[in-house]
Amino acid sequence: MIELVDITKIYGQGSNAVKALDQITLQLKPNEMTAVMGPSGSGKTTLLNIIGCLDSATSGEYYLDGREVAKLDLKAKAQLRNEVFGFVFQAFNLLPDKTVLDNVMIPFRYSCRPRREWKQRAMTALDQTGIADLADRYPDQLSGGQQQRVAIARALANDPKVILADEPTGNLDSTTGREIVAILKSLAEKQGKIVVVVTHDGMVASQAQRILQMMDGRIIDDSKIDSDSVVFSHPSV
Amino acid sequence: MAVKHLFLTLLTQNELHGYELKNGFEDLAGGKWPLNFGQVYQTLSRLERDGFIESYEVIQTDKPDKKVYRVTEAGRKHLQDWFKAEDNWNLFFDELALKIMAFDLIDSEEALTILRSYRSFILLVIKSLTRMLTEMQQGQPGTSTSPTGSANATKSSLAMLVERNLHRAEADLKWVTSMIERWQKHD
Amino acid sequence: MKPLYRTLLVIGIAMGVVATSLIFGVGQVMVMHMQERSGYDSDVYILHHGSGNTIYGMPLDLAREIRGWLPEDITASVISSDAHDAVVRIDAEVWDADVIGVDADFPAVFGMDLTNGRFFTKEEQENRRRVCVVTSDLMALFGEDALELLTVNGIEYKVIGTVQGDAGTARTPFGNYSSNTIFFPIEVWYEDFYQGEFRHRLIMQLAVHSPGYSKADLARFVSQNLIHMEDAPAIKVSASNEIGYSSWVQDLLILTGIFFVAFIVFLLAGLNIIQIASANVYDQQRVFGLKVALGALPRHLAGEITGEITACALQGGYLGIVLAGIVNTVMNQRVGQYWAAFNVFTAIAGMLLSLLVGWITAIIPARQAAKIDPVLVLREER
Repeated sequence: MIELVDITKIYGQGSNAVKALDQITLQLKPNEMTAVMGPSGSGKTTLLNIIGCLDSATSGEYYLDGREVAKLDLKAKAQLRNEVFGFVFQAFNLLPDKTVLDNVMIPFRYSCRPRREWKQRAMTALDQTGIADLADRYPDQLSGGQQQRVAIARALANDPKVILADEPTGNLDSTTGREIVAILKSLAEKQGKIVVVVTHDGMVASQAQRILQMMDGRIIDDSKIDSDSVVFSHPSV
Repeated sequence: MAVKHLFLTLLTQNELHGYELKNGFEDLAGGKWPLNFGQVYQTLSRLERDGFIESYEVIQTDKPDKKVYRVTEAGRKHLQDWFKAEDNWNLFFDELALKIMAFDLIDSEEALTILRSYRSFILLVIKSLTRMLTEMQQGQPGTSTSPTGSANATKSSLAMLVERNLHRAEADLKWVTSMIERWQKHD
Repeated sequence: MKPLYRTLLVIGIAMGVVATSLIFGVGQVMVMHMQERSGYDSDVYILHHGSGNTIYGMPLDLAREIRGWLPEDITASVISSDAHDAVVRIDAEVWDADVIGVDADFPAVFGMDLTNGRFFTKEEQENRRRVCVVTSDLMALFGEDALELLTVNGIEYKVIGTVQGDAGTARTPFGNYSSNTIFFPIEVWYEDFYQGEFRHRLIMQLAVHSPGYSKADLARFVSQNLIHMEDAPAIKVSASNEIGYSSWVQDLLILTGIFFVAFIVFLLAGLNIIQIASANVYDQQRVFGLKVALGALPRHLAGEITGEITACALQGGYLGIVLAGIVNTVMNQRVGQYWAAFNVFTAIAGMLLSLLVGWITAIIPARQAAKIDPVLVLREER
């Protein structure tokens, strides 16, 4: 369970100060995929970075399963990023000189897991995204959709409770984008993870259970998508 | 209007009777536009009256005689004229367009509520269209094979239609989102 | 790391290793020279026929004549070169030892100790006795029994004593005596191995021990008598520690120059590593940012950087040692016996130093990596 209370983030100082987040109060629960939409500069990525402990808030409180995150030191936050959060980026960010399997195993380097477990866990993660047969390939041999699957598998390596995706379909065509969103959605619905997706793609947002609309560092809309479908009409003759 | 022209198109491929025409049309519409027999025969009689189709009876031994239709030259030409007709764009193409016309006169809060509600609606539309598209690409039930054309042809033209709707819906989502933002700024 | 960077790093470290081995080589040579200089007895002089750096040989009778010009209280010994064609057999096995002809006073001139037996006497020389003296190293190697059966070109010689072996005891224009030497009476040496025929450069020098006489005194004795000779040969008097002096000075200057150049190359190698590693960190900012997002701590990143530099250091070290070996071969030809510098130790020192420099220089790029702000570098261009 993620709880943000009056979270504010200010970059810079004095006359150059920019308020990226303005008193955000928010709760995120498991089993839900939440889409965060808004124009550039609205603070969506900053929100994601703060939730993922990649950046820290200027003021406000952040509770992760009841524990206050601001009080944690560098080492503890790195551990959270390694074990609790999984990041997925628009540009995939795979290491081009390493195989798919090696890429997925990178998070293990910074964990306490013994080396003999690594390969197996990585293969499990690749299974979950349906590309276990590509384990020995290199990123430049894969399509965009496949690369993003590798990135998701990497995010899943340590079985995190939270998946944070920043424009995951931004570099993909619409068909592949739908596949990727379906994977992210199932991570929430079937594995009970908290999934947060920053997107400006309506198709992606439509698949979420909850949509946050941001502007100028504030959440201006927070609504749920309850129903599954609409009834389409047609001309009478 | 649409029914008339699509019947003609179906008849340029084959000679069909009423029931086949009904099914053919409903296949092309992917099951989203059901017709009743009344509409079917009304359309057919109008087409025949205008000289675009003609009919003849087929005598069957163990079943009642059925009426089969075929297209005429005039009908073919009429169809061609329709395909080549100029495109148009209706400025007021749905109910929301008309509501917007009233925005200057109604309460600002009410306008915002309408926009918000439309946004939720559009998201559902996108969700449904996305699912339709996904199902089509996976060959799930919901698409049907037509007796008068290949399954793939049906799927691809229907997919094109759904994709068009999806793009329009996404554009509409962009529009309504920026409208909501503009309304918020005024506050 | 980009392949280009990796290549540059390996080459840079290889250069550093070559430089390091040069430094150590120069250091060793200089130390050797120092030791040699201090080891010489300043009362020992070498008279040889030659001018400048060139040594001609002198016939035995000329050597005897020159000896006659010097006072009786000076101890002298003729010293020959090594008889290359003499085939030495010890206990029927061929053994490639240095075969040198000397006078009975040879050990007295250089203050050499006999560790066993005795040196041959003037009488034995005059009577052409077939005796010889070996170094203690040869005695230790073969033992008395085997040395009983010592022959040269098929003729038996009796070993009557051993002198202290190892280099540094007697210096000639052609270097010190090795521990692999057998000394023969000069007449026997001359007659048995060369049939008594004088050849150019066979008798090398007359070594004298002359306390109480300076180099100038000796030169006077020689020149007084040379005046009376027709076609007088050029006889030069050198202090034993001056042999090869001029060429030695030249080489020393060259070596000093090498030392400084090598040191600068060495420093540049270190800077090269820092610069390339830093460029690499800059190029890989995004990757480092990503790793931080995946949970990496500064020490993890530092470890990865150090690991990559170490891998290059090992490759560079290996390449450097190969190059250093080539350099060594070239130096051998140029400088000759003064260059004895490339051995296992310089190779290991070069390797270890390249690794050490790699680890130390990794500190700066590691610090740069730790300063990277993941939020900034992971930002997407829209």
